[in-house]
Amino acid sequence: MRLAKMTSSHADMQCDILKKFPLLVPTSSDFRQYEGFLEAKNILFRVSFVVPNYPSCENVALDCEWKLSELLNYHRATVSAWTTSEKPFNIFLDELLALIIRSLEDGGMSRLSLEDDSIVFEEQLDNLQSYSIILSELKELGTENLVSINNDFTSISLSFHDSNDHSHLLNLKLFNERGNNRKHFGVVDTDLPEAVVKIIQKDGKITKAFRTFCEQIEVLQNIWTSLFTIDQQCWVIDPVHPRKADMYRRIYISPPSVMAQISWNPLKPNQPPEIKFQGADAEIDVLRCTYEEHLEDWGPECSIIENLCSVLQLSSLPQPPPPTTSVVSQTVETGECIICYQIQLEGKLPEESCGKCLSSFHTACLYEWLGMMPGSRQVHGHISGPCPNCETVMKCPCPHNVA
Amino acid sequence: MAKKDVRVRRELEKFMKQPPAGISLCTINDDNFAEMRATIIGVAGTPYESGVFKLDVTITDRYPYEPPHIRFKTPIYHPNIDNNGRICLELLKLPPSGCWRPVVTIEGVLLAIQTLLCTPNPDDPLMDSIARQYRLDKNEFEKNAREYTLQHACQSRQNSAGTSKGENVPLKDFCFQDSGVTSNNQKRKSSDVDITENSNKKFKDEVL
Repeated sequence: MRLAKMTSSHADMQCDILKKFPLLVPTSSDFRQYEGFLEAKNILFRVSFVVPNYPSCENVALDCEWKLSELLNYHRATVSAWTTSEKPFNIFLDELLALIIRSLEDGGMSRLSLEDDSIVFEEQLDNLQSYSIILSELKELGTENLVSINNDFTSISLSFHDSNDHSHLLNLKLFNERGNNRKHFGVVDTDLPEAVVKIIQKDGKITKAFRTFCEQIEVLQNIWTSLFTIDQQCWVIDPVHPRKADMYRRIYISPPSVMAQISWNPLKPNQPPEIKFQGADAEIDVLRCTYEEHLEDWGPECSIIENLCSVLQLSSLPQPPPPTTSVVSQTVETGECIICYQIQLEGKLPEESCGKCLSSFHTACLYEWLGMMPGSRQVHGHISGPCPNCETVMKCPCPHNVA
Repeated sequence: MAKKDVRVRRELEKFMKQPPAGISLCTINDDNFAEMRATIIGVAGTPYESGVFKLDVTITDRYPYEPPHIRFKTPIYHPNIDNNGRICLELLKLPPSGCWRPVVTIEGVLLAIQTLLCTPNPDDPLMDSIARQYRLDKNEFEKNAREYTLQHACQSRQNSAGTSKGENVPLKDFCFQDSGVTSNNQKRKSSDVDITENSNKKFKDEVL
């Protein structure tokens, strides 16, 4: 009896759908998939539905052409609310159609009017032209340099093997400018310094940009050799993880008080690097004088280390300490008072902690700070004020009372 | 050891191991953490590019309840830094007018100053005329700041030559030009060089 009733309600629903939506046909025998068109205001919209919980419309998936999705974009929330309900599928279709008609009447029609078609067509034509330009440029480049290109030609990756057998990647992003059938491009990612990237970007053609890229890489070879030598033989403190694009190194001249930053100008690769000294005045002044006095000894044919030693009148440069296993990454270790950086202070452990950021403090340290804060209040041997780290209001007992 | 010294020593240790880019910090007197010298290298792309700015860092015994006292020793053209090197920065003042807190470190303050050099704050100026210029005529401001940097904050002539000439200088020209600039005492030829001599003298004066 129950089964019969179910079947008859199914049949009713199918009849209803067929009557109201003659262009929508089920494509599976269990009525869980539909293909066809929805007609609203004499416009046909190509749609396909997947109804996993037929006859309920729960989790319905709708696949449709862009015009309809554009229309429904404004009602996305409404439609997705329906698909979480247990509405019968035919009612869902009714309401969806009503929604489409309503949004067409609300001016959605003009958004979809035929002029769009012509713009779309022109855009496609533009694209076609720009694709063919890109293709011809890539052909000119030769496929051996092309690493990858995505489907819509918006990102291209090229590579170059330099004379030292290192390979370098040039990732380009292409974007359209309307009314101009040329694609513009920007360099997204490369191992060249920014100043050089600007030069590459100046060229309108990909072929020309790639040629500049290759030239610049060869021009930078000497600098990279010097940087590599420094990385190997000096105590480099900055950058911590040098990239190819980093054209400088900061090294210790006499640790820990004197360091020098050696930087090359990638646009003037044949010039000696610029050396800046940092540290204690007295030592720096001596070094700078020595440096200026011996600058003419800088020989382009000598290695960077020889040159540094000769202009600074040093017999050798300090070596990095053997790598230690304990890396200090944070100034304060867990458990320490974040004001005095100690665990034990006058025999006491950090006993106060902020309820929000969990920072620890010695009672005395926190009390002293809160006491200085404008607006802090002392009540019953407790003082309250903002946490020094996260500014959440916290309480601290008076240390004298605790003792 | 005083409470302050433990903390400053720890901060310095960390600083030596992982110094932030373009900033240095060292003690002047090894057994005393009260006086320190910091330098900040002007960030590329700003008018302070290629300048090395020295700062005096004084740590009082009240540290970290009181912020470090920091002053520019190298003259700088900036809306928030006055002729005496005083810096207008909230982080360097105690509440309620400032926002110093004892969890901020010396490194944090120096980083904030480096950021201040990149992005001046004309709404809270110390130098009204420079702030006005920064707001109304940024090109002129940048030109002045750049000139000031070349004059006072560049360590060697090489910098000024490199920055004033936009194009490639071949190596041989470069060496010949520089052979004249060997020591402070030697006589120099071009006017370009004189600027550096003056600035070097200034440096000396400041140091002494």
